[in-house]
Amino acid sequence: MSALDLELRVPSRRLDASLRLDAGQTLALMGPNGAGKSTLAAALTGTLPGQRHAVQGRLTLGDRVLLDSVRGVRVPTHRRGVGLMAQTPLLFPHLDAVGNVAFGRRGLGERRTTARRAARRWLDRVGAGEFAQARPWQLSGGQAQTVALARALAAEPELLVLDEPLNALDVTAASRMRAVLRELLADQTAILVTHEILDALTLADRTAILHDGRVVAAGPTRELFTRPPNVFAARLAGLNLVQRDGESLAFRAADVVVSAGEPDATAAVRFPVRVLSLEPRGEHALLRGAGAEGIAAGVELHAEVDVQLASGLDTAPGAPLWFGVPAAGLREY
Amino acid sequence: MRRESVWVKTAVTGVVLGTAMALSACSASGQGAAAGSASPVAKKTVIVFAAASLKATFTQMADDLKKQHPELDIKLNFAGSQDLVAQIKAGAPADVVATADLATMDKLTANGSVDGTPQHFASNTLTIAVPPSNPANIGSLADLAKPGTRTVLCAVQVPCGAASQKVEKAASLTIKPVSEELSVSDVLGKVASGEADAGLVYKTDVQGSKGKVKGVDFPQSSSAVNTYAIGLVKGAPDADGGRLFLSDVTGDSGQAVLAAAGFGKP
Amino acid sequence: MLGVALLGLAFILVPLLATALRVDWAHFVPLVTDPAALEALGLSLRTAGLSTLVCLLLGVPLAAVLSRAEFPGKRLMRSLVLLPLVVPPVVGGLALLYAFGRFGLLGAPLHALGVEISFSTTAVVLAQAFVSLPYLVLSVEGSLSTTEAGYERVAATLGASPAATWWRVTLPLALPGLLSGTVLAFARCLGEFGATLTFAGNLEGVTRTLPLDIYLVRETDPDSAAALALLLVAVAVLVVGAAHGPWLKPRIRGNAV
Repeated sequence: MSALDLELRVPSRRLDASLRLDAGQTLALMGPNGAGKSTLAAALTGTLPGQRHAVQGRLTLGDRVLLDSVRGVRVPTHRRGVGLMAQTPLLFPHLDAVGNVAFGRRGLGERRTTARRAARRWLDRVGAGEFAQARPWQLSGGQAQTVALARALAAEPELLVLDEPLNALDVTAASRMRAVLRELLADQTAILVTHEILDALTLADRTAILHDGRVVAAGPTRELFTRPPNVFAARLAGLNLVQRDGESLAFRAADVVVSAGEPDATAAVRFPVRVLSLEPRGEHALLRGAGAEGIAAGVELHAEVDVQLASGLDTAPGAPLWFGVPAAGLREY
Repeated sequence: MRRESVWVKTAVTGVVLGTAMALSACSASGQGAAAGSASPVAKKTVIVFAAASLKATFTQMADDLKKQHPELDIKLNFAGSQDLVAQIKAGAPADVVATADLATMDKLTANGSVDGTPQHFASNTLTIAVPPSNPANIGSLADLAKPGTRTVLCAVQVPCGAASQKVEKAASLTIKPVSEELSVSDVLGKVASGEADAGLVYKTDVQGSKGKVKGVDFPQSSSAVNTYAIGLVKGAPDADGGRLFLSDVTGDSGQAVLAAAGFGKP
Repeated sequence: MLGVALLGLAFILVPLLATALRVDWAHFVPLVTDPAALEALGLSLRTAGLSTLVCLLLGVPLAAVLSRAEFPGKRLMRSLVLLPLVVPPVVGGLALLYAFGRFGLLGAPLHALGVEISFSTTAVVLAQAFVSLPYLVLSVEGSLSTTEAGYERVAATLGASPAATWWRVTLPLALPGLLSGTVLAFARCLGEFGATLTFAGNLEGVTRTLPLDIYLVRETDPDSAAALALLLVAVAVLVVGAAHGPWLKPRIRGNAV
């Protein structure tokens, strides 16, 4: 299996990212909309449209150089060995499910019958064996997406790029698909573009976070989200993060106790804050505040408060409040 | 549901009315122009149906005649002789008809569409049209039958083709044309553009081509003389006006115009 | 709505019906099996077939470029391709004459090489291809433009070379448009008159296609012309009908996702 090593720049889209990935591992690529996730995915497959978005830098997969803008190496999409599974299945409408899955096998030089036999095996593996003869328009969104997965895998890519593959699926179909992916991505070098931390945690060995076209955090997924190195990782994990002198303090919004006066001794740490906003979230409300002084000065902190409690507080923007966190809710590292 | 059906009805009515109005507007504009020019002075309108080859000469004669008789308005309708016959038989309003050959006129007299005996007023004979530089060095009818000469003729089904066949017979020649055109103007066009080395057309066509083709006369042309005939249409709306035009054509001034255009004496 | 639809249908059918009524049915078979008529029909079918082939060879790549490539002047190029639709066929014939005629832009050098195009069957094919190319290009381009370019990207990520993608994905997806474009082009070729008349000439067995023959026969025998016209209509209906037959029902319906 191969290791991925990339250092890519797409100036027109302000992407400038470096990443490494060991063979057989799955990397989750996360970040807000417009952070450059899909641009990076397209740069990997070599499908960024037009000369205007020329990709610069270096990209190696195993011992093959796929891109080296300095030396003028630019391997075309079809010779990269980089597969793609996109948000929509894009099954070829003129082929049945087997035909779709066999498509890449034919490219490997297999004869039609051999290719179709292999295709059936892949359909069985993704649990779509019963749809073998089905035409794309006869399949539901989830079924079509599983066929698309089988098609991508059947071409035996060295690297598989999955660009938000669960995005267009309903909850049930997404759950089923997640289980299938978990099994099939086990030994596959893959990059999974997602905005769901759940996908990263269940499917990815490592996670990289993109922000404004740059990798702002990267590491083993579990570690990245339990001990977020910076606010980008912490936000995705739904954690507050306060850092000083290389020491980090992380806590969940739900563990924050909000009070008008200074909290008592049950709070292991306490932060004076100024209210930024109060956003209703059903039974709860999200109270956003900015640290007023001390180690959290200027840091945005979130607290989840009961709506009853919130109604008894002065939550007008700029109002002073206290955020306290009990020892049980704190992670120090 | 109800609303929809009302909408559909409205749309259908709209489209039908719109189409009808558009079509009637087309025809109305044509008539409007004619009515507009006739109404102010209450002019008398003479309608002349004439063979297409008479276009230049008859237009000139009509203009001259209108200058002498300001009260006269002359409408000219040019078409192939066959079409003229069909139109008159179908009841088109015409006072005078002039055909490019006697056979066509005979059809009208046989039908009783013409008053009295038509008069012969001009003749036309074939000539060889060649590009001004005469690249194939055509000097006689026999040259058209030489292998390698690209000759175009009218198809035998049309009058100029029938005439061409006659002169071929008279000269005991078989010309193998590269194309058999549907009209004499198509023959003329192909010679003028240089695609063809030669073609058989009427003398008047060469005269009217303004130097785009050159004529090479040949003696056998006398075996196919087209005689032009003119007659008064029976039941003419304006018989007097018709007679006036007819006498102008057969008179000195008309004959001079015809001769200048290359027509021969009848 | 249905009323107007029927009106539209009637608008097309009534003249054809009127033609059928003009035909002298007792003599229909001898009229249309007359050697000259058969010769003209055979020439029409041969030249229309060849012209359609020329249209396919030139038109499909043109349509592909128009629908896929990005370059300045593309809109202008698309308008230019449509010109033969707008130009009266006779003018098209003249234009061809100026290009391929004996003294034409390309015709003169060809003439020097001993290649004569005017008054030949080649000229008929050129005239037909000229007037019908836009139909094919429009059809195919429309079909290509509505196909998701994503399919081609996916094919490439599955290891298919551009050529393989073209044959295995792009073309099959554009098949409905390709077929209807081919039929339209062929039908237009069959009916071609003006450009052929001006550019190719009119000689039995060489350049006299069925429409030219109909026009010529009309000079002497309008009833025979009606019979021949009906023969042309029948052939056209047969061709169009065959192309829209059930076996070519597009296997592609709206892709749900």
